[in-house]
Amino acid sequence: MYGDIANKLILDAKRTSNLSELPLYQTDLVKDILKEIQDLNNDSEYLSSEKELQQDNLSEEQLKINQCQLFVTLLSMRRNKRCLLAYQRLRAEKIVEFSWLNIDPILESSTNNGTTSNGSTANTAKPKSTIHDSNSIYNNYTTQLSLDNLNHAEQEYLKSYQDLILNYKSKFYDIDLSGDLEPPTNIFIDVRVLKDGGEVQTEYGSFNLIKDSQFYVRKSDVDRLIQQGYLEEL
Amino acid sequence: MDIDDILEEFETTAKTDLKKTSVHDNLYNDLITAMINERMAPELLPYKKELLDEVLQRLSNQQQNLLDSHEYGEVNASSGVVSSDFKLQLMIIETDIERYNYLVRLYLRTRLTKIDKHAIHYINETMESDKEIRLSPEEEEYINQHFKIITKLYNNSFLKKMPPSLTLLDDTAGEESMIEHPDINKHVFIKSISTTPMYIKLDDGEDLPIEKDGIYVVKYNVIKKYIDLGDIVLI
Repeated sequence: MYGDIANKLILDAKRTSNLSELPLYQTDLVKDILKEIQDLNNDSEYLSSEKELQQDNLSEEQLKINQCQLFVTLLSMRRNKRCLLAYQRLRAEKIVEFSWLNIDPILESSTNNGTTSNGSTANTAKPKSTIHDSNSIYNNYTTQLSLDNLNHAEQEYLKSYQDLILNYKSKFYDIDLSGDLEPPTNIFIDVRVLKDGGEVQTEYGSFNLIKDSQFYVRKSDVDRLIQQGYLEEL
Repeated sequence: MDIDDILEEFETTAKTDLKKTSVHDNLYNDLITAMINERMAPELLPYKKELLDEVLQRLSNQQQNLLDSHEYGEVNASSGVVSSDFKLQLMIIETDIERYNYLVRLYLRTRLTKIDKHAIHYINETMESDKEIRLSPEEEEYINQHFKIITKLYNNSFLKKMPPSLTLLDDTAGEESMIEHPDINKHVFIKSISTTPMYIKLDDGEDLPIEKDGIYVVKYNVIKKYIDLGDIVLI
């Protein structure tokens, strides 16, 4: 049936909307849908030419049948287009979400699996369970992005969007626009290190990222490290 | 020195500077109102240019002030000139900066989310020159640029491979328009802050009396103009 492939794509999009990362671009599905649209287009052209050529020969009923066929064909094409747009838009929105987090995308999908502790439990879709859970607002957020999963156009989009927000942010240089969207409570917070990293320099001295150690640091200094999953707020 | 002394000291310094602090208070409240209005309204509200300019200016001043004070504190730390609550004062200023920072951030990000959601709608609106301008120049640049790159994405991904009759993004033919409009008939919670009692005309022709500090649920469309006037705030 026409439209079945598009349905698959929508199901994939529905699944994607609950994930904290962007799954592989469905190249084959998209290609199939495009082919279907092309077929439908040929059909509709044939139908309309037939209608014109045989206008006089066809009975009224046959004309109606022809018209109905044409209508359904056109509708199916439009529906396919909408499905494609919806799929792409969802992916674009996820890319946008990710871009605001200020994290570098993962280059190879094989490394770094399960780095974000809370991200993988995203489909529970439970907003803000406790205040202490500092990662709660990122539950349905795109916290991971693997460049391998994007198609070429999307990679280009990611890059241009990053440039775009950089440009926008530069006009408000005093405001950290990509910071945490939870209201701030204290300037200084306790953090625990979740994974090893290098030395971190702050205004108040430096500290080393060694797993399971704890620090008392200025929040604005470590915001990025929390978003990147190096630190956890206690 | 205990906490009472510190508070007392604040009061004395606050009194000498009363006028300035009251302005400061208003600015803060205005910013909160603007932020909440923006968050709760279904459509984009006009950009609060004056308010934002003022806040940004002050933030930048305070930021500089803080830097200077830190430097001053470090230079004089060893000689004992710096009193012990100097650090505390700086902390308070810093907390305040963070707070403003957060409000502005939320305000601007909320606007961007709305802009992205109904991009074509707002682009069309900016084309009509006689309408009031909701977007700041920065946002206008953002919306146009973003629309450009997202269109490019659609085109490269699949639109260019489709029959020409289907390549439009703002197709209004057929049953459903492809341009998404904000739903201005959405119900919103409002609170009246106007001192004079007023009446609001509802859709069915009835008048709804609005009392000061009263909380109501009405369609956004009905009270839209009162938000601009400042008689009603969204909650």
